[in-house]
Amino acid sequence: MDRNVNTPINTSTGWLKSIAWAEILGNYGAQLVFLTLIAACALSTPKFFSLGTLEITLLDVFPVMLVALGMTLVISSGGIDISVGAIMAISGAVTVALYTSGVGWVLSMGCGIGAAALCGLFNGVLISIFRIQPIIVTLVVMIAGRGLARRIQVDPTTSLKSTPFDTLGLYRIAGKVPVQIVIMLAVIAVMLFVVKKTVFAKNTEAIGDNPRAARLVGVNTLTTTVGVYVVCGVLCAIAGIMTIARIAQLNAVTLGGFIELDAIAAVAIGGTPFSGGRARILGTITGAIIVILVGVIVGLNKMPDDYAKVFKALIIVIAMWAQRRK
Amino acid sequence: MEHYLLEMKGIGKTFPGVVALDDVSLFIRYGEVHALMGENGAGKSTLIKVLTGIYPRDAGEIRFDRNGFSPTGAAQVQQAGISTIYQELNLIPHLSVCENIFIGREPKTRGLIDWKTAEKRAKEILTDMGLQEVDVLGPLRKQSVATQQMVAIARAISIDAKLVVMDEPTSSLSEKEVQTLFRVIETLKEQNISIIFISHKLDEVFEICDRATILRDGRLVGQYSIGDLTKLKLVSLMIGRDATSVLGKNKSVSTGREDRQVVLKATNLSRARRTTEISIDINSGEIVGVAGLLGSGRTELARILFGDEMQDRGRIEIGGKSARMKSPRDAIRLGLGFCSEDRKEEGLFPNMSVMDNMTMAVLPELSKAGVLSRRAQLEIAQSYIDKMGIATSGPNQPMKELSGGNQQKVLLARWLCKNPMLMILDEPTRGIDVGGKAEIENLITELAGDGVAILMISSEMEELIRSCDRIAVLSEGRKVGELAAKEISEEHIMQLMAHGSDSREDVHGP
Repeated sequence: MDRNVNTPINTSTGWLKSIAWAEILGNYGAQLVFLTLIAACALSTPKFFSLGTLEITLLDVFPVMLVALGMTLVISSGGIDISVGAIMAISGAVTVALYTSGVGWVLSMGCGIGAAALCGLFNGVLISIFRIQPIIVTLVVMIAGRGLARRIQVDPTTSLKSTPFDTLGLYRIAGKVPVQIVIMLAVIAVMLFVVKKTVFAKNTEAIGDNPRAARLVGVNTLTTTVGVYVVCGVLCAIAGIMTIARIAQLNAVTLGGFIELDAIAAVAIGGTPFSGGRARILGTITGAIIVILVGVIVGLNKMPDDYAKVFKALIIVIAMWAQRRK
Repeated sequence: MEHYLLEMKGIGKTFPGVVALDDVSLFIRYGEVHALMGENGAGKSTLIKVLTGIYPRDAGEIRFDRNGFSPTGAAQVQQAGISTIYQELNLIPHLSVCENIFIGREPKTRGLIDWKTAEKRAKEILTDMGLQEVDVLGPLRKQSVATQQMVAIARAISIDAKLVVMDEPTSSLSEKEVQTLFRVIETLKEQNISIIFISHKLDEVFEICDRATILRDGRLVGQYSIGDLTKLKLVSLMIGRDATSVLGKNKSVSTGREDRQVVLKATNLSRARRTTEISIDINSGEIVGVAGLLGSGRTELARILFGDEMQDRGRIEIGGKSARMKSPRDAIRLGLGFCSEDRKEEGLFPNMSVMDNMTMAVLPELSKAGVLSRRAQLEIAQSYIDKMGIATSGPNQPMKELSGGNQQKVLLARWLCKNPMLMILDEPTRGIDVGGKAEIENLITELAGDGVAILMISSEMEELIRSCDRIAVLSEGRKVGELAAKEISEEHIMQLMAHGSDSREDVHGP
């Protein structure tokens, strides 16, 4: 109220000196950290630039990337979803259980994805109709979902070697590009389109920014919220099923374990505000890559994996500092 | 030479690219009520923030109680004896009244908080203010806004403040509550406490203030005795042009047109205990005012008409057809628009752009199969920014950076771009400076001229009298009367309000 909007703000050169850096850090904090990290890696790890390392990194990043993209949408609606790992496990367990009992692999996958969508529906309905805190609702699904996945799982030692899943997991398009990378790029493209171009994303951001005002401008808060959690669930399902396919095995206990932490970290590093109101897809993409890179670099330098966790924490703090708003 | 409690001399403050204050001075006497006047952006808030140490000053000198004063933090300012009561109360609703008064400075014995003493002192302070009936141990949120305001003042008194800064203290108070506040202010004056009073309401300034300092565009216009000013003169000084052009009669010339149609007809609306059998009808091109004190049911009426709450009994017809609205979505589909009295909580998307804020309600029409046409969105935003003279750096500027008046214009534009049949405006000019107010009032009149039906709720009687064709008066959840154009006057409205609450059995709305 006290700011004089009639006066142009960016006329003096003093403005450039004092504001521009903060703006750049705020908008591109994640990207800057990312670049610094790559440079540090290149210097310290001779093998880093070989194609093999790059490919492994991209495959590792696949599940975190998909889940983090769904998480970005959820967080921009002012919510959070910590049930993502459990949803991955449920969709994997449903898919494998159906397949081993003789259902075709495509239909099995479809049902796996359907089960994940149902979990998302459950989350969305409880949050928007019964107005329960998102963290509580998804905590419930996280706990119950993991247990449910273990009950659905027929036999944890079942190998999926030489099944269509195995083939899918190792499939390379044109004999070169792993199918995961193509799926990942496709999902990224779709999410970018959704966030930039659709009414759904605007409604989502509006709910995140001011839920009361969203209702009063006629946003259908129920369908929008449900939609957000269903999209997140479906992305988890794709991540879960593709992970099973790649390692040709299902373990409902470990599949997607702690992935919610990496996904939330990726969103945080990417600069999507946790108060809701804004989804930053490009930020999340770099965030997810950074989270995985840290692990890869720690591994290549033959340090114990525990260090990766400390470094991740450090990067989150740095990214949050760079993006802080005064 | 006269001694002042506060002397601020030659204060300058520059933000990157903006001169917020340029050689501004403010002198406050002991025990006076001093109005600090100016439009939004004149520099009032900045000056207060310099005084309270939130912003360091770039130039000038401050003396407080005859000593040099260079505040750096809230604690130091409080210790010196300056207390600030902001528009948005900085109290904690879940804590008790007593806790709120003493928070951070609780009386202690042996390191533990002495609640008995705190309770006793809280009672004493509130009794001195004429509020002996307040339950000091009950949670603050159960109290009315007015009482909460008083608690904020009680807090100021309890730290032995010598100077109390009140920033728009009456913006959410009813007439009666304002009088209570003024009584408290008089008591403070008697104790030789000085008050800086910031308000957009001229009547109040003339009623309670001794002197006024006027700012415009970050500069000092002058310091005046209230006795030497007239309303008109004060307004011209504030906006720097002839006020008669701003405060003229807005009333639409369309009164008595033949081609009017009933847009909305509500019969015997009741909900819970707050709304009882209210009937009202609004025609196209007509501005119908709703007058009533806070708690009279005026906002509840708006919520029911907009489908935000459902009536328990009664019926609503829109465009001649019975309408059952389960949510605002239904109301919007029927061609209604609603601007809430609470912009921040119920209107703005602060982090989203001006463009998104403006087009939020019209998005379905700007999209095909859910895919948005950004070009159409931009076109609408730009055309309304130009048409309404919204001061913004562009359609992509975040909404939170706009001034109150410009935010309100964006919120009005949000509905205008949908070509509504009926607009419900709850306190459309609250917290907006005089120039902005006139612009918004003119806009509303223009809208009515274009055939839009308007239901305007306001606690500012002058505003209703200036704009409305008819005025319905509410009291305690009932409609106690309706005034047609010729009968509209401040006196009549007041009579109805008073009559309504005294003997509601005798009077029924027409």
